[in-house]
Amino acid sequence: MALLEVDKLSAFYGHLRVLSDVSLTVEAGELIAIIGSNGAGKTTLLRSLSGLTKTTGRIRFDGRDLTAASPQETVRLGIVHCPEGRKLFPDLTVGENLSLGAFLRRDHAAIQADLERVNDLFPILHERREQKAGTLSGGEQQMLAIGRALMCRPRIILLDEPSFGIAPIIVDRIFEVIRQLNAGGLTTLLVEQNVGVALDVCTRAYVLENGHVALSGSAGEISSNAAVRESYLGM
Amino acid sequence: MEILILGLSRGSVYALVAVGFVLVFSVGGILNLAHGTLFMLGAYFTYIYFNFLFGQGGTLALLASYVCAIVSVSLVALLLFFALFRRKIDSISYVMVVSLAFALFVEQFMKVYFGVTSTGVPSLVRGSVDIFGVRVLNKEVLLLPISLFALVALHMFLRHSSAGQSIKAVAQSREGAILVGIKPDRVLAMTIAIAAALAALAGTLISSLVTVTPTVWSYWLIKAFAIAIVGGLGSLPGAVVAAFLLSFVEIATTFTLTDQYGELVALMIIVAILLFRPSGLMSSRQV
Amino acid sequence: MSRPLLIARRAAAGLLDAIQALSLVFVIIVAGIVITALTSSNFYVLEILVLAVIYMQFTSSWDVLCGYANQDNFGIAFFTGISGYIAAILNKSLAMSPWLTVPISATAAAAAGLVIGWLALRLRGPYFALLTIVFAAVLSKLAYIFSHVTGGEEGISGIASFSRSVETDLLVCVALLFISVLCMTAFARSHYGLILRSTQHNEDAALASGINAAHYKVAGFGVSAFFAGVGGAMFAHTHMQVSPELMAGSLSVLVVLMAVAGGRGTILGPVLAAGALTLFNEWLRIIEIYRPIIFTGTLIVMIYIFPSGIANASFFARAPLLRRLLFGREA
Ligand SMILES: Nc1ncnc2c1ncn2[C@@H]1O[C@H](COP(=O)(O)OP(=O)(O)O)[C@@H](O)[C@H]1O
Ligand SMILES: [Mg+2]
Repeated sequence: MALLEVDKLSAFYGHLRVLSDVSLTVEAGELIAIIGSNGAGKTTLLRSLSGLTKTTGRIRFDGRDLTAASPQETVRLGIVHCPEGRKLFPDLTVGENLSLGAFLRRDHAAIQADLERVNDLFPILHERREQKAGTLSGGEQQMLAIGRALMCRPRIILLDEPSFGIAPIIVDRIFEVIRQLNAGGLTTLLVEQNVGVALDVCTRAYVLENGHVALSGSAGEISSNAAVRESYLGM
Repeated sequence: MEILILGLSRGSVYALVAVGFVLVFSVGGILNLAHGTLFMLGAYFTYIYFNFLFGQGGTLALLASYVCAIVSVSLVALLLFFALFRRKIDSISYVMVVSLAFALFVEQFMKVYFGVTSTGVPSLVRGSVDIFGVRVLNKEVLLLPISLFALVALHMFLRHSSAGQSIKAVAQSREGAILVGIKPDRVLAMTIAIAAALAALAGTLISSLVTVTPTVWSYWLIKAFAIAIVGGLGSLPGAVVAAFLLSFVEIATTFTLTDQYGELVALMIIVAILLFRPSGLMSSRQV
Repeated sequence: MSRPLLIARRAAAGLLDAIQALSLVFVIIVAGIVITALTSSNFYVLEILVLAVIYMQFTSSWDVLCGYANQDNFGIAFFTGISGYIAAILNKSLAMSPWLTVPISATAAAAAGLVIGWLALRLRGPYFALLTIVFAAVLSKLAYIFSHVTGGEEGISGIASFSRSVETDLLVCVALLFISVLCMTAFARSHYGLILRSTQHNEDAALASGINAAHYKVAGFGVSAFFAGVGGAMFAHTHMQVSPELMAGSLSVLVVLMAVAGGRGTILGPVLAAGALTLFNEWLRIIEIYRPIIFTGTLIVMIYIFPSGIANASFFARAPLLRRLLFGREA
């Protein structure tokens, strides 16, 4: 059975239908990319999965029905959302931001171990642990956002445009980490407008258009699709 | 010299009241206009407990009344939050209006049961001391250290406890806080209880110094509101600085001019700040 | 066509439209008050009706700005106070007749309203609320400081009433209220009201569409202050005295609470609520000591049950005919 099953999910903002009957599955250990143009509904999809946006349809995670779950419940179960715009705590230090990632956890030893793992992945965060999050560069903030998400002990991590507004070299570094984490067994759902990079790292991908799934398939299938090449890869 | 001493001691009480008001705004995006009422209830509950429960016993009884009063006010604030505010917590206007209605209600209630005249509580300490040649009442002297202690305790709590960190988290990024599993509703309830406790502490401290009548809430509400905005709505350090500033201006003008002029000058300064620097003196949001 | 003529024609059309939009219940209430004034000689009843009319005037003048622009003015007493005192002083020291003091003092209030409105333009939410509170507080401090003019704590008494009898006073007040409500309805239904409404959600959007929101807000302030001023002068000439209570924070708060309970942005919701609540408060005198507790408690309960006000309750959205009868045609 798949780790995450989404069946006929629909979401609304007032009367505006933003997602219509979106269905997808994520197997444990996969790295799935969700691509689509601006306003396609990618962010809304992730928000629905983490319980921030109310939806109709069905969400099953590890065999449990999560359709009406609160964000706190989803975090507890290990669905961790690293949001668009990062949503860090700007006046808290890097260290405090990371500790807050473990807010729901009480397993102190494991928390310490996770903190060390994050520091290994992003040594810069360790260097800047006393600095306020708001003073970091965009790339560092994105690293901190991912680090904070990792401190929640995710079983699946939802990444919303981790490359947004970041210098290309740093993007490479961040995607290297994403790949590495996935190789270590972390199931990943990656939303990206930077389609080339996303298709490079993912195993499978879904293309979202106007709130519905227009196309899905393995990374290779998607990247060789003529329509995708034309509208997203500019070839 | 007298100005300095009085300014410091009154300023510290202003800070206690204003900090809670700001904290609730930062966390919940709401203005609790019953904050002055919570302050007033601190004084009234002290009076009630001391006179009716502890039968005007000694110092210990007075201390016990202080503690009971603070706890009671926190409970009232929680009741206010759960019973009235939560109905439409997203509307800043609804919360302002309903909290004002509550303030008016408490005022009338107190008028009926305790009369319109002032209610006094004996002080924890008697006598007076000479500080640099100025005679100051001991109870006045007590204000600054107790308030400072409470403010430092608040700072430590916010900085070092998990609950305190969750308050800061919600204040700085509500959505970020939700995504690490914090429940903003619960954090707001806790914040309101803490803010109420601080206001009540200020009320109990003041109850032996100035007269407490059922209408004082509006005076203290305006103080807290003004300090909050002068300090830059959302900034705790700003609120503390603004509290001392306002208290110095008031005391200084009261000494040099008359009472009435003193308050007028303070009000005009608030108008000027609203018009020329509406973001407050310290504009960064800092909790 | 010349510009003044054009404006006059627009105003006339607006008034005509306001008459058509008026609520039947309001007309019946006004007629009822008129009949009572003509037939009753119960001094007590007449006095209460005068008070109710004054509060209706206050709440509707609050609503014409705050209900539409969705900003909370917690200092309406600034306008009622300034106008009441000006009317009192003009009448006492210059022996001016109420027929002159009412328009003059209301115009003075409107001028103050335009100034404050202009100053408050950039301020929203909490900042706006504080500014209005502080302005009203400044005014009442000034009244104490210049107590040789204002009478300080005692205020000014011995002001002439509109006429020699309470009956006629009541008739004058209810006529003023009726005209005021008509004018305010016309204002609210004109493009002014519409634009004020549009600014409440998104001022930037209004700006982007080329509307100068500032102009409309300042105008709204002026109108609100003018009719609040009419109410203040009404108070002076019916109570024959003014005291600091007319510019007190508690009056401002009471007006906000009654208007919000009635339903902001409907003019008649606040009017009906103010009338009903004033009468209710008087009726409570049968249990005098608990009266204020029950009255304020009722306000809390009303606001809790109808957080958007009675006139905006979903109940009326489902019963448009009833809504039309009670609160008039929607803007
Ligand atoms: N809070 C909101 N209120 C109203 N509409 C929204 C809101 N958030 C997003 N939308 C609309 O929903 C659609 C999908 O948005 P989003 O999920 O953010 O797309 P994406 O992340 O793919 O760019 C867009 O048309 C956007 O305008
Ligand atoms: Mg997006």
